[in-house]
Amino acid sequence: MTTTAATPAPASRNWLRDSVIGLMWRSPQGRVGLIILLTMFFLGLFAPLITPYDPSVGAFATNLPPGAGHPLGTTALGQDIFAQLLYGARLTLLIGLASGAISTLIGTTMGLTAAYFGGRIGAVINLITNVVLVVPGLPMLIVVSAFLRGTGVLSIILVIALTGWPWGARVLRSQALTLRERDFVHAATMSGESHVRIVFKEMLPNLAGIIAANFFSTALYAVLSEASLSFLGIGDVSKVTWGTMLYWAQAKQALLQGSWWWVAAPGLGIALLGTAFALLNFGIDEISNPKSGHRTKAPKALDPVDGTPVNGNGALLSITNLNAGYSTPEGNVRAVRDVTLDIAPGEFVGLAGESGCGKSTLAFAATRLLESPGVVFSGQSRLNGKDLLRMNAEELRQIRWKEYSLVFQASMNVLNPVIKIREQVYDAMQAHGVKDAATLDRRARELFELVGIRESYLDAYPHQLSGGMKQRVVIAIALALEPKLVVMDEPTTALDVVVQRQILQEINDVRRRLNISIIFITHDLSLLVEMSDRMAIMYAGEIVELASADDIYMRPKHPYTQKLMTAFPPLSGDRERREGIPGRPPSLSLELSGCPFFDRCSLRIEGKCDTQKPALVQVEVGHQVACFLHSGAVDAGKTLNPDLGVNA
Amino acid sequence: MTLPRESVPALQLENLTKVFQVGRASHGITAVNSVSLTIGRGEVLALVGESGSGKSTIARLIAHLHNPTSGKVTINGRLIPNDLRGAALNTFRKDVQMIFQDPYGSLNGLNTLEYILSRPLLIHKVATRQSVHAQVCALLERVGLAPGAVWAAKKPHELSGGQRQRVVIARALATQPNLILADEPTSALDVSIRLDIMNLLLDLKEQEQLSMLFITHDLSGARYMADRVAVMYTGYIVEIGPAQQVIDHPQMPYTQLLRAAVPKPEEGRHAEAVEARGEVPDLTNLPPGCPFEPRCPHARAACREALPGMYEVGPDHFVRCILFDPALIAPLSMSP
Repeated sequence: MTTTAATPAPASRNWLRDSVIGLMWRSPQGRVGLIILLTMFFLGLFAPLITPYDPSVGAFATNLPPGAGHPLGTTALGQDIFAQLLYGARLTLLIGLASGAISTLIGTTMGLTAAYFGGRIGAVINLITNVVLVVPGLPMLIVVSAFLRGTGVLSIILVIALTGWPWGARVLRSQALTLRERDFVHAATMSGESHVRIVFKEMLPNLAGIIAANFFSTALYAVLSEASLSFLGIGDVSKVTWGTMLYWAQAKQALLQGSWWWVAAPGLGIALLGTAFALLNFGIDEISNPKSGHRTKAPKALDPVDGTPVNGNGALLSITNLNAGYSTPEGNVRAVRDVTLDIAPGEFVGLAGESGCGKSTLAFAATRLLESPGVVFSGQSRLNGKDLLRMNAEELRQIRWKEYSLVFQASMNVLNPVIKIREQVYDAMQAHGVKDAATLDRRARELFELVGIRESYLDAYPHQLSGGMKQRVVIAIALALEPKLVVMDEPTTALDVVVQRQILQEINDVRRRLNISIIFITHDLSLLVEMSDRMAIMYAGEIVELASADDIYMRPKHPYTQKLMTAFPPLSGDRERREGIPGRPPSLSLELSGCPFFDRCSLRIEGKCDTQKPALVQVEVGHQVACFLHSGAVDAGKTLNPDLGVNA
Repeated sequence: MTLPRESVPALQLENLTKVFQVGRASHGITAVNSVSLTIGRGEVLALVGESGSGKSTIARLIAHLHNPTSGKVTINGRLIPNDLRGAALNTFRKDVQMIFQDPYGSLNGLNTLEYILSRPLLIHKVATRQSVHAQVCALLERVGLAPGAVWAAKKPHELSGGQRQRVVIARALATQPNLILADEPTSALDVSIRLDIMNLLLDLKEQEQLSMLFITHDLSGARYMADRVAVMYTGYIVEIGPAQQVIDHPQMPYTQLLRAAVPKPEEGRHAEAVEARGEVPDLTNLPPGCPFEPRCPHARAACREALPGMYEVGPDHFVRCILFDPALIAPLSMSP
């Protein structure tokens, strides 16, 4: 059984850290927004303590410029502008937050109801939403407020809330529509949960980020609308808000009088508040989509190594002591650990292992395709003797696609839907100097024949092709410049078995005909056993066994490989009970002193396997294994290099 | 190979059909086409087929996540109305539970396992407020997550894929259902964990006489799990029979193609060649004849005329192919 005695969840949680404020504090943008908003809030709240003046009483000389006594000057009516600004913050914030809250509430209810119930109810709500959405905001505000005129601040809040909700409703509806199709919602339905409970307990908490973002953007809308309405003199101009301050400044021709401070103070206040709401909005986005802020950087070249590279083994690709992984806020994760692997010309090498064992990271790192936050820490990867990890961008560009190319699982989605397939096949060839139209056409036809697609599909658009066809197009493009190495990362996983088999047959034919080396990554072991010349079994970032596919399948040596080879039921023979592999691989953020498979191994040697790391050594011709059952060789000193910056 | 079946099967489908209306198109998508099958008490029936063959839709129709367009669903001898709703739907849900494919998507990440498992227990009054904690723990321990009290406090993100799938199974067991619909319960999991989950389901089936519809695209998994196997193609059942008969000696040309395409290193390291021809017909406009005819190496004119019936080719083993039509079989003496 896969049970482990684990620690229970932390009982006491820091309520402040988990609150909205705590959440926003984690994002730099949110933090700035929060500081501005809270500052304004407290300035408004403690206005009577900060200024001795009444904001609406004109007790001073008129049009005084900022100076001692009146830090922001006075109005044409002799009121203190600083006092107005402080007191004005109260109503401005109240209107912004209250309208934001009400319109978020309306928008959320409408959006969720429309999404959850769909059908006729959904259609009606959608219609109302769209109608309100297309009516231009400000004129509508003016018309509605004309009807509600005279009831003061409340009416302003209502007017803004009633015109500000549809945008949020739309966004929420589309999000809730995808959420409704998630399996956990289906599961709740299957359990017999009521509609109310599904909406409020299952769906709503998962939409919290969007609802909060929606709140801040409608609050921003409310502040700006209040300013516009007040500026136009709609609403109650006797109340002090930043909007009415602008109205009076305009009415008294402040700028013509040279009293620029009268306009600048409320104007800057509104701008600052708007900025705060916008920053809070960005902050939420940053927290809920941590990846969106991540710029994908071109992977950096490693520093040159001392000494001349040795290249005497005739390998096409020679990976030596490669360490690669990911940098995360919690420290570096070493997903590829000291891997050494040679690929001979024309060889089909299968990389196998459980998800998260580092097999894709290995392939991407070795071909310099690992993108940020992925990092290559150290090692070499020499293609025809040239170290890919130490090339500059221009050198890389020249050999990429020409000497090696890549096909990955979702790569059929890389085809641009609005460009004809012909253009997309030409693209790589043109980038590498093939310009002649006749050559391009001839080559494209050859490629399509190679991967078994009719030439007529060259003039189709991607959507006219099935998934299997598109994957063949991608493989054709990968072969366009006759590279000597193609890395294939789960190229057929999304396809049905019959299509998968046909594509694999074609890949095999092509590589034999053109003598291409292939690194093939998949979790489908039986497929790898059939296809590969050699197989590398990876576990927790390390290659634990490397041998011909026959040896791996018929004569596996590592206990992990042995278990893997019996972990898939056969298609013929007796139907006997088989066992999986209990437990799970160790986390890649750990640095282990012993064998990574120790915890799950039934043949482990206590006191040896947990304290020393077995080295990957050849125990028979062409058969390498890292296990003390087969060799006493200890992997000394290679466990952790201090300059990797890996947190132990 | 006859199977022990009590007089009242756990599930009986008769001519179940589902047409999805898409937009204003006059032709709907026929996802499930006149499917009839039976699952006996304590029996596992595997439904295999490629994506788009309608196998998942059948589970969702039986579960009433979609309403069937036509046909009859009988569960434990009770005919279930196609437009089931309200209290009757709730009672029905207690008897039929589903295990979903993706253990990452089918557990709400914001709730604890305690909450997730307590809901079906409380809704269907299997447990009282006082006994619910003990029952949640017992459920977790039944699926191999012991001690239950420790696991109950966790949230899904603290669990591995295999552990999550155990929780999904525990949730399905909570209402003490008679029929489990397992929709590709192992395909999102790693090879090393798949067997654990399949073994767990087999143990539960043995212990509790559970009847199960096991949906998969993996022939070897179907062979490992099931008593009988039904093969689907474009919404039709094209072959149904005892698991080893259907998978080791398939009779329908489509099942033969499927088997040839699957990697099977145990039968020699070098793959069978699979011939590429024809395409899967459009589900909005199915041909009147055999849907596999465009890809079939044995296709003939008669295949295009009308949908072949199901012909018996062995004990309890039926195939939708005119090669087995008794009227034709004598003169042709086919041996596919």
